Amino acid sequence: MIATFAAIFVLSLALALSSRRAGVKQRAEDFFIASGQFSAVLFFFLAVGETYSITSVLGYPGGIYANGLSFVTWFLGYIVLAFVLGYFLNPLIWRAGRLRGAVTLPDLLGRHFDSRALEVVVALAALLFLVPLGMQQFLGLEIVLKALGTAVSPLLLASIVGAFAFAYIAISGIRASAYVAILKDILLILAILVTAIAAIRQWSEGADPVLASAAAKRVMQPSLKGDVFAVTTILLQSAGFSMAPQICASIFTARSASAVRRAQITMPLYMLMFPFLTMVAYYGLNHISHIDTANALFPLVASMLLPPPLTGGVLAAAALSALVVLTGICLAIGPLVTRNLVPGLGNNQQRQWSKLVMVLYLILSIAGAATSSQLMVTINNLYYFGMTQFLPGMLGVLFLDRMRPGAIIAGIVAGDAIAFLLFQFAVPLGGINPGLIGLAVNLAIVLATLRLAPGQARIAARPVRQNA
Amino acid sequence: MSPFARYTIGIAVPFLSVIPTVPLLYRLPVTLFGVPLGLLWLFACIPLASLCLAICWFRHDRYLPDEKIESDYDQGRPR
Repeated sequence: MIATFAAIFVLSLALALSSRRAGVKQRAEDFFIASGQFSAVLFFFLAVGETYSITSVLGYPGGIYANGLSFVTWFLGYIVLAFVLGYFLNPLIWRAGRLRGAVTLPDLLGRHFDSRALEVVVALAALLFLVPLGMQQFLGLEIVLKALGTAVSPLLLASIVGAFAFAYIAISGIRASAYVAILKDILLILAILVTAIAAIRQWSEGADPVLASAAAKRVMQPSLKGDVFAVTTILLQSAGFSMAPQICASIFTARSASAVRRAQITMPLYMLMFPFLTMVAYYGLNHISHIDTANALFPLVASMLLPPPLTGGVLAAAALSALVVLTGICLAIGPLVTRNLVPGLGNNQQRQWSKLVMVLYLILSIAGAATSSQLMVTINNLYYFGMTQFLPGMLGVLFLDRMRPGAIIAGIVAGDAIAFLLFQFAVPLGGINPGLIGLAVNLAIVLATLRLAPGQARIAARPVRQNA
Repeated sequence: MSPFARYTIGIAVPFLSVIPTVPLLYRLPVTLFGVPLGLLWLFACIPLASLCLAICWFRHDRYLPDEKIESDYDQGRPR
């Protein structure tokens, strides 16, 4: 099992090395966004790689096991609708990024509105909500590494895996991340297919009729509150999906708007892995009476049903899914600090100092994961509270030409604060996602300012005759 | 393809297929091979979304001019 796991990691390192362009000195924009040269195929693999983190592999079956069907509705619903909205929004974000020479989301907003304050606020807010996401990846990695069954301490293993993430980045930045994403995307599909097929083949063996009956009742109990949460979460997260700094950065890697569109068409099809992942969750519900943590369900089922070498492959695919997302977040966080928060660094210095920021981020995430026991899906929700608040500003860049940067800042601060406080104090909202209420307040501030005291005219980034 | 048809097929159809259709279907006590109808429909929404976007692409968007914009990333403007 460990040999397969290690072999796949060595292969991923070889792929990362092959992404280097010999004899070319890498500039900061090439390191962070590949100078916007990725084809539709490479952009597809990178975008898919950064979408399906370890939360998808572990959190999805674990969520079904723990919460039933309303969880499936919002989890699948928001991803598929995020791709739909992305088909229309992302080519415009790509165009806006090119017009403003943007490497990061704060670059785009700050330069479009000519506001240093907006650039700094967006960078700080993005950092604040990205920090738990790295922790989430290491929480998942801890479960996967534990399933490997080695005697090595979990902290040391997490550090080794974190070192791999940094190695990919140090080799050639986003190019290495995209190459590793190809391996991860293919392996992940295979891992889920193999485990699901094994589950189907061995369904009748060891099935407990009492468990099966209880499981059927648990997954089939819809509630109004659950439905309201599912619908409001889908709306919030599908709208906010493309606002995350690492997703924006992946959009900027594409070579053209049509490359973005073509990739977006096929992105939902990758989700066809979820029916198979659902089968794995159902197998767990029917065969496993108790599990310490619901997120450990997928590795547990894989190790129950597959021979050790295959289990090693499945665990490697799950671990790589965390690593690709970690490299994406690192490559987004580095320039947030070195381009947007620290002023005046040269092109080469941005790249060099970013690596230090990334190392610190990885260490912070490992330490956070070692001391926190928060559920992965809760972290996922908090992340979207923050990311979605950038939407009004982005709409200002793309469509509205008299938005005030001060109003966007006020909207982000108010939206973040309201969403977080409603969540923290568990204010009863009848199932409505607190992030959506934060976004509504944010939009109200921005639109009221636009109506009552419009700012100076700017040219919105949308093409003038988009539908011609 | 008109802009109205493009947004209807590309956005309205995929959104309405999920919200409120899926939660409503969960309330029907109908299962196929033991799987709730709402869940099967949600899985069907995945290829449906790709199909809707493909229609938008083949009937409209592939005819849009593909801009080539070179950027100056240090100065923050197109080259």
